[in-house]
Amino acid sequence: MSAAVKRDFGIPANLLDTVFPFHFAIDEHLHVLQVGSSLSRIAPQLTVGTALTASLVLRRPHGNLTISTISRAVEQPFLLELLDSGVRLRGQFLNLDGGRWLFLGSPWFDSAADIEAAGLSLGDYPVHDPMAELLMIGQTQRIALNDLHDLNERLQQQRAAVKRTERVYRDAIAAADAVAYHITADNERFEFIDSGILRLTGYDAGEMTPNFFRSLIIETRNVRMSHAATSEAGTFSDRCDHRILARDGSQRWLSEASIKVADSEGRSTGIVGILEDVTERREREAERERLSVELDTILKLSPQGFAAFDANGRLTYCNPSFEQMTGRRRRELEGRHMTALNTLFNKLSAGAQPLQSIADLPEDSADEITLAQPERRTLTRSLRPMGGSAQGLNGWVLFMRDVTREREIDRMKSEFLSIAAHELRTPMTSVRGFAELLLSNDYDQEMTREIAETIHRQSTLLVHIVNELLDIARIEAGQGADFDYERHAVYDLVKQTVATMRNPDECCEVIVDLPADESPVIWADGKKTMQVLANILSNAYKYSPDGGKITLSVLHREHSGRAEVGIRISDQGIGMDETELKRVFERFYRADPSGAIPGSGLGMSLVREIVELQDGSVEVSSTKGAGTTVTVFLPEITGTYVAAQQQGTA
Amino acid sequence: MYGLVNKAMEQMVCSAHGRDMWEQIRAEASVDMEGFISNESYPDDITYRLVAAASTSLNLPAEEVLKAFGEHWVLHTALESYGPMMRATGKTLKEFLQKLPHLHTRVELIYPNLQPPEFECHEISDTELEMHYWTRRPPGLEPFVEGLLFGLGKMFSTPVSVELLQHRGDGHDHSVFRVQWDEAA
Repeated sequence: MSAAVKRDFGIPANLLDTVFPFHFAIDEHLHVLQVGSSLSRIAPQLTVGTALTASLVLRRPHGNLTISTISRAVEQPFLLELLDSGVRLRGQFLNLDGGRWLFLGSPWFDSAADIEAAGLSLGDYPVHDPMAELLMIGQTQRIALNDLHDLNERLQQQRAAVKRTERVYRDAIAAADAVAYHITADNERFEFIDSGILRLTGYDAGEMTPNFFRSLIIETRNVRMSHAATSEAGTFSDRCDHRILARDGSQRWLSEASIKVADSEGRSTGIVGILEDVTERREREAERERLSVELDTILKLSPQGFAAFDANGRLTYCNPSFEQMTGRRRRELEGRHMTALNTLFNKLSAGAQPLQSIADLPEDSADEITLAQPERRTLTRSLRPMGGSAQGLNGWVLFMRDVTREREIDRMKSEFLSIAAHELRTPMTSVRGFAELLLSNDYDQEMTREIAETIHRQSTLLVHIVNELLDIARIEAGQGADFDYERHAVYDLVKQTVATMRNPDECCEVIVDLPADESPVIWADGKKTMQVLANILSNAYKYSPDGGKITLSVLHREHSGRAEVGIRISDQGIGMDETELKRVFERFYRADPSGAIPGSGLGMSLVREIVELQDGSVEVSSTKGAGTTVTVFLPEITGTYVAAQQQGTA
Repeated sequence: MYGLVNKAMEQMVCSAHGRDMWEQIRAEASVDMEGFISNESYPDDITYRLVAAASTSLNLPAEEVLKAFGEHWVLHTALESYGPMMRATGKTLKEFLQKLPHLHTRVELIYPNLQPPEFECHEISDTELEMHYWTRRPPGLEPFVEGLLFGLGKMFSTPVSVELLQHRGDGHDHSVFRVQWDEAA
């Protein structure tokens, strides 16, 4: 700005520069008379006395920058441009007196940055000038536009993400052998359904309507409704399994998950859902269920005791045998730790010593314990881990076996061997002793004969004992499988037995009280049955030292819903008291312990063995000094019985 | 309020705590809008909900959130969006504060639906003034004003101390702050 004193041009000079800091004044020759302070800063060459055209060029209105042009367009806004910087001035010319002109305006910029680039600030504009506000509005619009761009970009990204997610879902649905669908709000058609419907039903998407799909459903199971957390509309989701009839006639199980959808105002927009082929899964489930039931049944029926423990050592399951062995119900044991089971076993134990802890039982062997409660039992226990190394340890199974009977049999075998050895040793000792006597002495003929007869008698007894032991062993081993069943008239069997049995010294009178023409018929092994009758008859002879009648008779009875024939042999011999009677079937037991009556003590044991294997029974009654009656009951032959037996032995 | 305010809140949270935190705050505030347009007018309630949710999610008192927001507003939103206008308002902190009414007049023209606050500064000394603050918004925005003043101090590299002398609502129609700064400013 010129250092000269400012002129007022009708406005006080100090105010003129404040309110129009970009003004300039010219004379009629376009020479500069005055320049506003702010304009001087951006147009330093525009000084008083210089030609206006040296610094400025007219852009609007059309024409050269002359007084004539200014005069002509005085009513119009003028756009001037500084030659040096290209900054444009917008304003108007006012005609003053004396041919002078005053330009009131300000530089026009497109952005605040341009103002600063030109060496100005918004503070250089007068307060009344809206330039700053206009620029700020423009800036605000640009910011808003950027916001829109940002939002648009974000929406694009979201849309891309949604598409990616949609692709992932589609791939996942395809991989799961499933199809997605969208049913319209009117429930009339599929807005969308995957072409995979063809794979599931044999019908393509074009043929499929909601009603048509429903017509394929044979049955629906597992209907369950749950609140759909993902549903914006807050509706409920449905899940169910359908058995459908596919086009090729096959049946498939489809699991359907669907949800009602609504728009943001809660109006229904239909149903979306997924159909998944779960045929194989259901088949596997059914098989698993079958195996589970099978296993459960096996465990329930198993005489062995099983208890399962989880990885923390707590009981999760035990079978009825385990309950029986411990005398505790499953619900009492569930959840209890192994250590609690140890306490229980110690409490039930028959011994005073503490039992081995379950957790310490070796994997490859079992311990044996004897419980006094709930009843006396001998049990073996072993513990097996569940789960391989790959799956990690899932828990343990405690396996218990009741070996009470086995141990009793072992004991009985030992006892039997001991008795058998003793019974064999007695005649053997006798044979050996008398043989030594013969070898070491010269006896007369009578004595020698007597000793030889004793040796013969004792060795005959030995052979008899060995034969009967072999019979018993054979019969026990065969369990009747080698029995030769046929129809037999009881009369024939009785008659033949009596005929083949020697009546020693004709001491007894044998009476067969059985009419030949009315004999009942049995289905039995003839030889074995005759052996039974022979053993009983032999005892009758032997234990009737004083003679008497031996009566063989037949009776009939109904027993356990069937007809039975009883073959009864009664003697009038020495008989037995109650104690002796109880032991009559014991092996090597003899009613005459003196040995005066020869015998092995195995006969009655063999009798019962053979009769019971033929589905019969033996009853013995006796009175000491009055005689004994033995009755062998066998099933009486009837049409049905024969048919059943023939079928069973075929 | 104009979207510019909510957008500024979003930028502040995103730059300091990441977008996930902003999404959490937006969900907490039940604000469905994906973003804000600066010159669009939004209900004041949205801004207040966002402040409350930020306070909950960031585990900060609401006053601290507002204070940080005030500072962010000056140093980022105002400077980045309207730098020339900010710089034209004053070359020093004192000049700027004294020209605040001028600035807000312009702001009101740019944002016609805005209800900008009114400020009036009374000079106490070369390094101290009392700033009177009127607003038609609900009470409680004083921490935001404090944050603005701290932000301006940083903008002019002039450490300031601010004291609330009078609180609107304590029988007064406006709040008064004492603002002090270093002599060098």
